[in-house]
Amino acid sequence: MSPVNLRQIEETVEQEVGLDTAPRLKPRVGVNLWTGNLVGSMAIMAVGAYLAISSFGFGFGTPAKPGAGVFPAAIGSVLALLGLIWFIQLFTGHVRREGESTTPDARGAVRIGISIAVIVGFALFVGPLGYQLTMLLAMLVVFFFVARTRWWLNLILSFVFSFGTFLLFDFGLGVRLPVSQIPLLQNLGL
Amino acid sequence: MFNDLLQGFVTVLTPENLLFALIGCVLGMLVGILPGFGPAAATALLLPLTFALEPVTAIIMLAAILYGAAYGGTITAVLINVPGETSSVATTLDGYQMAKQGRAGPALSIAAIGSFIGGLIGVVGFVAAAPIANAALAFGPAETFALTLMGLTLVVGLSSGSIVKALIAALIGLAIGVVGLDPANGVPRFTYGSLELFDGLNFVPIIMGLFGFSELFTSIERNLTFSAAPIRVGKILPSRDDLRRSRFPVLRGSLFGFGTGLLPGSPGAIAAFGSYVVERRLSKTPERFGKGAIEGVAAPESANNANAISGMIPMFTLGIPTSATMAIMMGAFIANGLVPGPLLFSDHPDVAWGIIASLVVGNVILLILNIPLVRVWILFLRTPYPILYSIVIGFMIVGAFSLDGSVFNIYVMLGAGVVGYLLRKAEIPLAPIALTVVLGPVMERSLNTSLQISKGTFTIFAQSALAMIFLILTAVILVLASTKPLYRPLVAKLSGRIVRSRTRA
Repeated sequence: MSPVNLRQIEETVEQEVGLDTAPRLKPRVGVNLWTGNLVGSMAIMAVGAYLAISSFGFGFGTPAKPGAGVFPAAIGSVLALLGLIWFIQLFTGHVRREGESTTPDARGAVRIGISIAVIVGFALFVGPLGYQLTMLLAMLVVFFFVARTRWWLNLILSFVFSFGTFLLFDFGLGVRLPVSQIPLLQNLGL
Repeated sequence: MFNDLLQGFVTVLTPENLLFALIGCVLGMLVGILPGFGPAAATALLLPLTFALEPVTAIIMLAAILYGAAYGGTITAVLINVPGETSSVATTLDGYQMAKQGRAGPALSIAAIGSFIGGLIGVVGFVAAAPIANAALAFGPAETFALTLMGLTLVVGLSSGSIVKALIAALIGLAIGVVGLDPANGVPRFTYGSLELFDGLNFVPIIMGLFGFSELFTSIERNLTFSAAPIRVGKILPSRDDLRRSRFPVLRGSLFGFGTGLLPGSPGAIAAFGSYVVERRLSKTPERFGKGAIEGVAAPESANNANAISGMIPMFTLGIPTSATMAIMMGAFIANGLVPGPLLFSDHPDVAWGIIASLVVGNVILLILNIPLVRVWILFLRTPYPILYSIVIGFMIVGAFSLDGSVFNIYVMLGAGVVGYLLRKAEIPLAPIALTVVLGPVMERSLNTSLQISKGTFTIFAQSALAMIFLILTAVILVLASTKPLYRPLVAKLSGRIVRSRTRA
C-alpha cells in the first residue's frame, strides 16, 4: 500500500469514525520491504546451513536407529532451501517490492530500546538487589520513558506494581521471589 | 458419557475453581482490550500466573483467560472501533455503528448472549466428539507422525500469506524444538555447554516473547497517545425486537463457527466474517448491514466463540493443536504435567471432563460478568494505553522470572520477542512456530520409533492405511497451497458468476 493511499485511509477513518488514527497509521513512513526481505532470506539460509552443518557432529546413526543429527539436518537443509526460494522470489516478482514501512519512528525506537535495556537490567540486578527494589527501579524507568506519566503517578504506579506483584506471587500464588543479597536491604525486608 | 460430564461439573464447581475462573475472565478481558493483544498474546502473557495452581484449576483459569480476552476484543471493537484481534473485525462493522447510535449496551449484551450460546453449542459438539479420542488410542507411531505432519501442513497451507514464509515459520519452530538432549539417544544438541539448555528451551518464555513481546514492540514503536471518542452506552439490555432479530443469526453463527473451528489453521476471523456474509445474504434487508444491524453483531460473535471451542476438539481428541492459541494451551497442559490427546480421556478422565465442564462454567461467568458490568469495562478503556503497555512489560518480566526463578528465562523471552518482532516485519506468520515448537518433539519421537520398528524402512507408513491417508492428504494440501496463485483467479471468476446468477434469479 502506498503512503498516499495510507493517508487517504487515515483521513477517511478520522472523518467517518471521529477517531484519532495516529497510533495505528501515522508513524509509518514509506520504506519498501525489499531490503528486509533480502536480509531475512539470507539470514534464513545462513541459519539453515548452520543447523545442517552442525548436525554432522551429532551423528546420523543407521536407518534402523536414526542418530541425533538426522532431524536437525533435515530441518536445516529444508530451511536453507526455503531461504533460497525466498531469495529467488525477490527477483522474480513473487515478493512485494513496495510496502508500507513498519519501521519505528525515533521515539518508538527509543521506547523499544529502553524496554530491552530495562529487561536486561532487571536480569542483571535482580540477584543482588532482590525482586522488589529491582522491579521498582525497572518500572520507574518504564513509566517515565514509555508511559511518560507525571512523576507522582509514576512513583505511585511503580510502588504499587513492584510490591503488589511481590505480594501476589509470594502470598497469593506461593511463588517465592528473591530478596536482596545485600544484608542492609535484607534487614529492610527488600 | 453423561456421568463423566456430571463428574466433570463436580470437579469444576468448587469455590476455588470458580474464583480462579472469575479472576481469569477479568484478567483476560483487561489484557484483551489492548489493541493487538488477542487470546493468544493474553494467554501467553498470563500463563505464568497459573503455574502455582493445581493442574485442573490452572487449565480452568487459562480457558477463562481465553474467553475474557476474546470478549475484551469485542468491547473495543464495539466501543472504539478498534478490534482487539482479527476475529473481532467483523464485529466492528455493525457493532461500532450501533455504538455511534447510542446502542453500545445492546450491542455488547447481544455479543455476550451470542458468545454464550455459541459456547454452549460448541460444548455440546465437543461432548459428542469426545469418543474420537477412543479411536485415536489405537494410533501407533506411524499414524501419529503422519497425523502431526498433516495437521502442520494444514496450518501452513491455510495461512493467508506466502506458503514459503509459512513453511519457514514452521521450520523455525522445529529448529527451536531440537535444542536440548535428543530424546532417543541422549545426545546434547545446540546446548553450547549450557546446563540450562540441556532440557531444551522452555516453551513458556518462547511463547511469551513471540506473541507477547513482539506485539508489545509493534505497539510501542508508534505514537502512543490515543484518544477514544466518548461513547454513550445507552440502555444495557437488548430490546425484544433485538432478541427476535438475533435468535437465528446466533444459531446459524454458532453452527458455522463450530464447523470452521474443526479445520486446522482456520482462524476465528473466517468464522466471524463467514457468518456475517451468510446473514447479510439471508437478510430481507441487507442494506441495514454496516449501518448498525444487530444481526451483524450476533452472528460473528456466536461464530467466534463456537469456533474457539470446536478448535479444542482436535487437541483434546488427537493431541493436535490447530491454532497458535491452542498450541499455547497445549504447552500449558504439558507444563502442568498433562498431555492433551486421547490418553487424557483414559488416564485423567476427571481432568478431561472437568475442562469440558469448565467451558460451560466459563461461559456462564462471562455472561454474568459482561452484561451488568459493561459500564465497568468501559472505565478500563479510559486508562491510557501507555500505562497499560508499561504494566504489561512489568508483568512479562515477573512472569518469565517466576517460572523457575531463573533470569535465563527472561533472556529467552527477550530473544524470542526480538526474533518475533523481526519475523513480523518480514511478514512471516508466527502461528506455525507455536505449533511446531510443541509438535516438533512429538514428530521426531514418532518418526524415530516408526523407523526402529520397521528396521529402517519407510514401508511402515505404507502398511498402515490410516497413515497413508494422512500422508496423501498432506501431499494434496501442499500441492493445493503451493498452486493457490494459479487457481485462485479461476475460483474467484466462478464464484463471481454464481453470485451474479443468484442475484439475477
